[in-house]
Formats: sequence, C-alpha cells, structure tokens
Amino acid sequence: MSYNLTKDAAKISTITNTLPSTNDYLKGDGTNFTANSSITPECPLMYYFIGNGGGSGTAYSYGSTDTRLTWRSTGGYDGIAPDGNNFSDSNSAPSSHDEFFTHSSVDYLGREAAYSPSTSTNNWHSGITLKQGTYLLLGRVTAHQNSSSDGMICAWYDTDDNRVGPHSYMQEYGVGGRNHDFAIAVVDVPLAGKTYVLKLVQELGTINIHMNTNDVKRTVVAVERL
Amino acid sequence: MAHNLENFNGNKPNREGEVTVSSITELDDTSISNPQINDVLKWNGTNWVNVSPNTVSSQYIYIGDRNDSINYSTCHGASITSSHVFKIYSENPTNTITNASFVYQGDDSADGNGFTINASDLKNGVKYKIKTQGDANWTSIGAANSNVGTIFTYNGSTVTGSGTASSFWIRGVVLPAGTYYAQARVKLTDSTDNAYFDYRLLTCSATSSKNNVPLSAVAEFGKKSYTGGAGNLLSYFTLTESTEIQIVGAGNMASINTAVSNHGNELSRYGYMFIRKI
Repeated sequence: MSYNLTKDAAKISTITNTLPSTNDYLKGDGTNFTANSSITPECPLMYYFIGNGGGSGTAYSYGSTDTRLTWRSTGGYDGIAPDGNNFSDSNSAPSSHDEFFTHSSVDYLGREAAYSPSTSTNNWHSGITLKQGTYLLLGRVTAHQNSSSDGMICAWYDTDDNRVGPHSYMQEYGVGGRNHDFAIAVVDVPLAGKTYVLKLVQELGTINIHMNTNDVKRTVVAVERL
Repeated sequence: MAHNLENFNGNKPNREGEVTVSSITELDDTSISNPQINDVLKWNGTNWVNVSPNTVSSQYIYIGDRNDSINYSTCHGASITSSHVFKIYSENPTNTITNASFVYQGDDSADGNGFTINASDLKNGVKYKIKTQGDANWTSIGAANSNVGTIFTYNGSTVTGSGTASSFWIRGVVLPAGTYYAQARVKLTDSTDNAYFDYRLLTCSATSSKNNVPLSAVAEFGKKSYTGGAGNLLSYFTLTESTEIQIVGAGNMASINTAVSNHGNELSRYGYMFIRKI
C-alpha cells in the first residue's frame, strides 16, 4: 500500500539496514551490501620487477645509445591484480622466470628496436608511464663492467629529460665492491600522465652493454603509489 | 490517488504503487560526483559518496633535491668523526606527515646540540633564511628585507651587526608518535680503496635514555670501492612520542677525510631520505 511507503525508504542506509559510521564503505558480502569499515585497501604497488636470473652475453643488454637503461621481462610473470595481498602470490612464480608485476594504470615502454641486440625487443622495459598521482620510484639496474673501478651513475628522468631524483651509483656484482645502489625519486604526475626512465648519467670506466645472469639477478624496479 | 501524492525524489508510483528509482543518485543519502569505473561508496557522516579505492594517501617525507652542486663545506658542520651527524641539502623537501617538521642546520636539535649560524659566519654564494633579526645589515648582504624567514643568498659583502640564520642543510626530522618506514642514503668522498663509513638512524632527544637509540641497522658507503658506491639505510620503527631522528655515523670509519670542506658535492648529489608513516 502506498501509505506504507515513505521517503525514508529511498535511502541506501535504510534499504541496506545499515547504521554507517563515518568513513565506512558500502561493501558487498555476496548477498547484500552492508556498511563495512574494514574494506581491504588496494595494494599501492603499481609496478614491480625482480630480475631472477637467466640470460647471458649479448642476449640481455641495456641501451647505451641514449643512456636509457632497460630491464628484461622475458619470461615475465604477470602478477594478480593488486587486491589485498594477492601480489605475494607472484613470489611463487617459477624461479627460472623473472618476476614481474604491473598494475593496469601503469604502461611500460618497450625497448627501442635500435638497441643491441635487435631481437626480443618486445621483452624489454625501458620506462614507465604513470597516470596522475604521486609515486615513489625505485630502480636498480646492474650492468656488466670490467674492473673494480668501473661503475655507472644513474638517476630517474622524465621523458622531457628532466632529472627527477638524486644520483645513485651502481656497480657490477662481484667486481666493483658489490655496491648496488638504488635510484630513487618521488614524482607528482600531472593529469596528462608522464613517462619516467632510468638513465645512465655517467659511465665510470668501461661498461659493457650486456647483462649477464648475475646482473639480471640484481635488477629490481618498483613503482609505488603514495 | 496515492501515486499522485507520493513522490520519491521525483519518481512517482505508477498505478500499482510501484516506484522506479533508476539511479542511486536519486536516493536521499547519496552524493555522487563524476563516478568512475571501480569507484566505491563511502559514508562521510552525512551521505554515501563515491571515492576511488585506488586513493592511497600516504603521509611521507622526502628529502632529495635534484640540486646536486652544493658543496658540503657550506653546511657549517663540524669536522667529520665516526659519530658525524649528516646533513642533506634540500630547498624543497616534501612533508605530508601531520605534525612532522625539519630541523635545519642553524636550528637547535632536541638534544641541545644545534649549530648557531651567526650572520658574521655566512658563506658567500650560499642560500640562507633569516632566523633572528638582530641588528645585522641583512639588506646589504643579499636579503630583500630583514624579516625573520626571508630567504636570501649571501653576496659576500661585509656583515655588520648581529643576527642568526638557518641553512637549507637538513640535520634532523621531527616525527610525531607512530610507526614509520624509512630509507636513506648519505655519502662522502672516499679517495682510496679502503675508505668506508658506517651510518645509521638514531633518535635525538634531551632525555638521555631516549637519545641515540638506534632505529636502523648500519649501512655503509665507500668500502673497497674506488669510485665509491653507497649502501642504503632501511628502517622500520615505532615512536611513542614526538621524536627527532638523525642520520649519524655508527662509530666506524676509515680513510675518510675529516675536513668537511674536502667532501665536495657528494652529499647533495647522492643524499636522500624517504620516510613513510605506516
């Protein structure tokens, strides 16, 4: 009967029989929607790459022509969407694969075909395009070097060639003191989005253009939303 | 007829008394604005509003300017010892942690070991902020005015009168009670293969039992590395009250020149600190 209807019925809180507290979320439980303050926040991790090994010689190289570093995604493992702790599942990926994860709001750049070698260009990442927001960028890309005095100074750049973080110093595994530094940056990405790359700022000594297995193992790139 | 009288936000019952509500925006306790895919509803105390579950609002501090040409000799620091308090240069540090603040060289630290920068000690070409006005001739030495807080670059002219300034070298961070993740790196010039320096994160407090409490494992830079890589400091800690923290030498150093002036721009080039409240 219409006289049983009141305008109160046109409230979510009435329909769902909820007494919400401030900051409660409306969450489905499989049958109904209820107010729930403990909604699982989405993992802030946007992109994560762990070099787990594999590769040798010139099959795995980074670009030195424009000083932009690349990292290998061959055999990559697509992580599960970052809902709660699902990302930890990717750690169980086969050890022969590099572990790789990306969020749908992150696009990655492939390696330019001009890089050596010209094969497998689809399996390399050379930058990350992010949507609007504030992000923490971390990266460590090791490369093959010849002596204990070799190394490379790296930093995060945007594609307008602006350096966006302090310099860092990276050396090869087992040769130059095993100092594998991180390049770090905190960036505010504008509405239009922006692309960031890890660049080789300065070579110290001689750096070969290829990675070997140990170099790949020590490569990690992570992007986290702040 | 009732269906002519009842009105649910503009939706009238039909002849059978059925009301069609075509959108949650027509409900009384919703306030929906430009909804996006994957948005969820959140109660703001008055209405259910749409928000993105992707919104992660971390509170963090980031000290890591791209200004990497500042010589460490401009930090007004004392000679370098194994307990050296490192300073990181930043003209634009980010701080989104409520009630957190920076302690600059020239400010007093919590343990009372601040370093006063007198107007007479300013270094030519270095940027400062007026801390106490005194009777110094601020406008003759580069400042637009003599107001406290005015930022200026010392032009090398003769300083008359007294007053104090603070620099843009950050020697500490004051954090409110809470749990934090911290990551940092400092680096000095190391000219020999055997040079190294250990450092870590410590509390700085006027209370002896709360002073110099380690908040991190020891990190190291320079050892057996001719060209000098640097280890990063990683830490996870809980503070029960507002506390100043500093990056301090951990007691071990070798072949590191003790004169601050001999370390060039290493710290402004490589130094950073990132702290996130958890």
